[in-house]
Amino acid sequence: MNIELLWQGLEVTLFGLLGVFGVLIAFYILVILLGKIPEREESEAEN
Amino acid sequence: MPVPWSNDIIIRILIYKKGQEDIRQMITKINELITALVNGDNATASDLGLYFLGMFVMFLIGGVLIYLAIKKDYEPALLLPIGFGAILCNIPLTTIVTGADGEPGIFGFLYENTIANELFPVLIFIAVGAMIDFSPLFQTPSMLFFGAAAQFGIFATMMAALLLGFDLKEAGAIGVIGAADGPTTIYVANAFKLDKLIGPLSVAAYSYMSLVPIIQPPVIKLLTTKEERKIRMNFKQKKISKLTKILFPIIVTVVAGMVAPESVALVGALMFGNLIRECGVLDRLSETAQNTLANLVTLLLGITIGTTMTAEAFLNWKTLLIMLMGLVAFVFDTAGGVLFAKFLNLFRKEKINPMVGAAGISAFPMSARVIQKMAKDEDPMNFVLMQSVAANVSGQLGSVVAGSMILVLIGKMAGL
Repeated sequence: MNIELLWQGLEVTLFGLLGVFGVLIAFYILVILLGKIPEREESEAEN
Repeated sequence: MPVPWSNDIIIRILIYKKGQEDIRQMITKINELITALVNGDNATASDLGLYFLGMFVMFLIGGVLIYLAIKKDYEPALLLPIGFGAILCNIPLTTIVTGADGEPGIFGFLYENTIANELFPVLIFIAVGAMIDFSPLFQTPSMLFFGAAAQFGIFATMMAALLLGFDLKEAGAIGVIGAADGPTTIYVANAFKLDKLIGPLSVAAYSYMSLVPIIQPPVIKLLTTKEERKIRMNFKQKKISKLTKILFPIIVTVVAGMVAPESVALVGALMFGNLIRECGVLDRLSETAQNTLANLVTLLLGITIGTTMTAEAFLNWKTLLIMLMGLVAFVFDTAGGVLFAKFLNLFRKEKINPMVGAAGISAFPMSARVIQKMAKDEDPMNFVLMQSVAANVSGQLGSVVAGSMILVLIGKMAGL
């Protein structure tokens, strides 16, 4: 068994999961912020 | 003892007609097999017999895939063309993959120009983006975290594949089966130049996606109590502005692209498809992407992948292990989502039904439906569909991001 390869795998797992959570936390903030745009602004813009 | 009817005339006629060295080799092999059988040379006969047996096994596998597609309705749009492609490419003397003089045959050409250059997976993502409605995500944003947690299976499976002796690129591509997302699986395998594994990886990804209603319930039941499965969740419907829906795909593309530039092709295509859906002025394009484009690309994608499944490339231990790892990936994905929900419940006043976490995989909308059905089985008045759909949509985002992470991290380690 290649120990070095397993370490690399663990590194990918750690940073990969951190990356996925990091990006989705950024998306979460984005969704919260965009969700605050009131719908009436849209109808005003349309007018 | 030479076999009398193995004469040169037939060989010459066939070679004249096809002009191919493969034909000579094939007929020579048939002659050798017959000669070995006649002379009682069992060792040679069994070697050659295995060669021909491989073809028949591939015919059988192709037949099974077609059967599952037609009879069991398992991802028929993909499994049927893949199954037929598997039969096509194993017909002796066929030139559909490699033609005379080693030039690509028609499907070899299609593979090189549509899959190997990642065109089809990206086009499929435009279609998928045009099909997705992200509104449920805005109703329950916290469900986004399950789209991340359910990607745990990707990394757990990658580690399991490493333990089984696969190299890092192969293990990464196998793990991505857990993205429950065929195009991402194909995209990553291509980026890592794993041509020979694309067939088994695609078959595993699409087969298990269709088996979500069978795979997820036992795993969820194993990890949750009856009381937990009965948890009801509040849902407040709120209207989402059009501006929000338009800004979302644009900003997501920019954010994901800045974090992982390798993700731009996938995330960008997905979000472009979503933008043409939500902008409100491109209904015809949106409809074309959802129907015509999706159907056309799926049709050619399936059969082209199927034609990579030659006996030589498919019938080996790696294929069996990949199929097994695919199952492991889906089990770990489901477990990751459920356990993460249970973990969050430790700190929350308003509890989450942990089954919703399992919907964080990308198999949309099948997983959300499975969760709603399970919730209803426990309590007929329990409605968790909207939350499950939100988690499921998040899974679409999460799987693309996870696939991109694998590409970035392993790509750097492997010097790609």
